[in-house]
Amino acid sequence: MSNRIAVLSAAVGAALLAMSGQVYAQAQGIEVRLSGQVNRAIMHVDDGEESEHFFVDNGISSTRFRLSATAPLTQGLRLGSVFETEFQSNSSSAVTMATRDIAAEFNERHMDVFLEGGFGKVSLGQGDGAANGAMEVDLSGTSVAHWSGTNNIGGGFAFRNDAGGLVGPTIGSSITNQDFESRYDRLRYDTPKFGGFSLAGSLGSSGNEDVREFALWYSGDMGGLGRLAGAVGFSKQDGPIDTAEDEVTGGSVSWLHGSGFNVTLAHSQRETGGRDRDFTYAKLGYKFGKHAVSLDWGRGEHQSAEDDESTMVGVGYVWAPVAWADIYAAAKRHTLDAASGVDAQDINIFMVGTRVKF
Amino acid sequence: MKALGLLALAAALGGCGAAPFDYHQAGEIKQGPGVFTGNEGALVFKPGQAKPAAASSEAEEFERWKRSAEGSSEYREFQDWREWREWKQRNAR
Repeated sequence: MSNRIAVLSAAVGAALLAMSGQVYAQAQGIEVRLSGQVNRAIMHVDDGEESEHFFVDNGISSTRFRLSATAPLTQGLRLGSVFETEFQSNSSSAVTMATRDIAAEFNERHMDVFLEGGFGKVSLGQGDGAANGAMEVDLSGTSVAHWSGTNNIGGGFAFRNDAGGLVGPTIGSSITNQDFESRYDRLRYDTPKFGGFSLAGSLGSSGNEDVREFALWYSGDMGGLGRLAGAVGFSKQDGPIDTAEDEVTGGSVSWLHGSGFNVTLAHSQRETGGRDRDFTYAKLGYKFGKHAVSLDWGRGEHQSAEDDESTMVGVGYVWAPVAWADIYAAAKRHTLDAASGVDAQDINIFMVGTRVKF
Repeated sequence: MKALGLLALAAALGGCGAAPFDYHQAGEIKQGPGVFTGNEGALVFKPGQAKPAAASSEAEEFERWKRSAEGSSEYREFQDWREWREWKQRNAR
């Protein structure tokens, strides 16, 4: 598989080089854009034994900057690149009671070149797999405060037993949305949209293993009935042995009615390590003017161990007084029903923060 | 079973007969204006439209006009204007 990908990549690279030789107006139409955002919050966590404040970078939509460039190659054909890196200190998904401060570091998100035209889009490099984000389609307007990625806020905190000892699974290991293989080095193809639908496929490598992903994306405006967006995807990562293979199937759909009422649903199944892990999520929301509010519920089954059940209920609010800023608040409670019989204490998390686009 | 679920969802979406719109992934950088970058939402550089190139093009055009207009009444008027400007500079207080 690796060899096939290398050959494919070389072919695309050669094609891009050949085409770039025919650039008809080298300096004409080139556009370089620099943008980014800062997203900081105060988070309060109570795990039943300790409670503490944290100054965090919101892992739902981290602090980052992006440099992108596009240029026309020929009539109807554009070549472009995206360089995006995040710079998080105290990521909200990583801090714990024992580790409140985590030094900032750069993490690559996108290092991508692409060619797009009437045939669709071909991307090569580090970037989203074909199905990345298919578990996170959300039109509620509150996604910066809470969404299906339940582990993005407080994912590092471990449940405690009644005696106050740490009993093991963290929020992040017991309830995640299993959003496929995220970003990795890959070759990806997206079809043009047909009636709101588009297909995507990617081949690449992640964690030293081959990965392939496929997804069907949809977005449509139904006039008076509002907007609907959704995606279904499949990913498979090879492993050195059969039980180490990682296979995810899932999707999400979100409907925003013209009145502001909205519903979001997501479900995924992951097979790896000889265990089937499930995730189910629902969100009800309401948008009015520059405000959005929502309630959500999520459940992870068999994720941390066979028959473990981890549940989350939450509420979120976002105020967007200007187009470049969100001010938000969220609260949620995580519960673990451990198969081991240990009585785990609930974890409560509150967060207030702001995201500013620069 | 999974394939059936995927097909059912795809059919439900397809049945809506809606106009497509560009869905922006929720966790990505917001679309629209930025606090420092205004309505563009990004610092934008367009190398092909740099100002020095425009100035150079203007200078070339002036040289072409000088060569083609020499001896014309328009050119004589231009020379009179230059002489007047030089006289004014010499007599400036």
